Amino acid sequence: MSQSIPYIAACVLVPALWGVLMYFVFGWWQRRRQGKALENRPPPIDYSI
Amino acid sequence: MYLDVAGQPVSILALAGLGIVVGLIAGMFGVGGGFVLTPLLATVLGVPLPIAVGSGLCQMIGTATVSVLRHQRLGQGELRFDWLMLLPSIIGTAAGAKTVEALAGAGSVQLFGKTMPLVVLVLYGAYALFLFGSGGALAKRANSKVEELGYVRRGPLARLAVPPYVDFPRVPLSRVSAIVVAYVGLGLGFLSGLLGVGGGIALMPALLFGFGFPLRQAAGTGIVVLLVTSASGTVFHAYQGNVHLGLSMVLAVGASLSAQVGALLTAKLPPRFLRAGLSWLILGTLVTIAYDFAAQFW
Repeated sequence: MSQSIPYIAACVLVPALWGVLMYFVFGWWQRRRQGKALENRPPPIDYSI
Repeated sequence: MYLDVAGQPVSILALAGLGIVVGLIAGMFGVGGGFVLTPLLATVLGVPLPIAVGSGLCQMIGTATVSVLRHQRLGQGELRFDWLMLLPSIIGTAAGAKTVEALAGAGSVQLFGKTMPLVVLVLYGAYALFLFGSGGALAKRANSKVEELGYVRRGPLARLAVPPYVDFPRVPLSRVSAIVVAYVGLGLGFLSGLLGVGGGIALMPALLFGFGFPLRQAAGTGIVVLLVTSASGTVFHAYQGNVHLGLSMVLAVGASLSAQVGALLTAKLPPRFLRAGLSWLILGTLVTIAYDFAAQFW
């Protein structure tokens, strides 16, 4: 039983597009986490006595 | 909620659960997880083996796409190696998919007075061998303290003198036989088409121990080939009617979300736990295959 060409193309394109979407979503999430970590860091120690 | 897979109902929740497990494994151990996914689809969820192989490859396209984009941004890996393996890996994938088709159409064999489909017998045997070989090598890598040497120690495959030769300046490694690299690609493609694995679990030991790649360069090499083998394998298997897109996407959604959790867990868990986890995972998959095989005789 062979499948139609549009179905075969969808089998390749749909997961690939999902991968691209995940790359951007998790990239954004990671940048946001890093940004928050920088915002919440403790103030630098002042050594100027 | 069930999916109709070749006339057999498969629970969507169980599929999503399996996807989550595979994603966790992929995130924690840096492998695609196909070596666990395809056997478990067949043994635990009862998906026919050829469809498990094809659909496993289809869901792998998503994770491979993310890996390619990420490694391209980081600039890791030796792309020349990928280009050399590209065409042979596609030929190998086609040969692997054709083998599955031929085995599926070959009927059954009599074993200990019971009838067993030839495709199940051969593929279960191949999975067991593959897990013993590649899985063992990967566990060995995890158990050894891999250090960046600062120089490249040529592995046995890099020493084979079969012209023409090619240099890999990013590794750096010079005068490596292009024929040997092409054959590695052919083997990788065949494994991918036959077993529905991305091949990362087999390529990693080949690069580290066979060619002597440093860990960082090995991690980024072969990613493009993994994407191409999973995509070409999907095309070949879909043409034969062995890809269920719905099943693949349920797995892909679960796996892509939990892979992030797996990557976070890796940073928090002790290395000893991770090393033991990988060994238990390989052993567990082997036991599942052995159990399902033995159950056919009860």
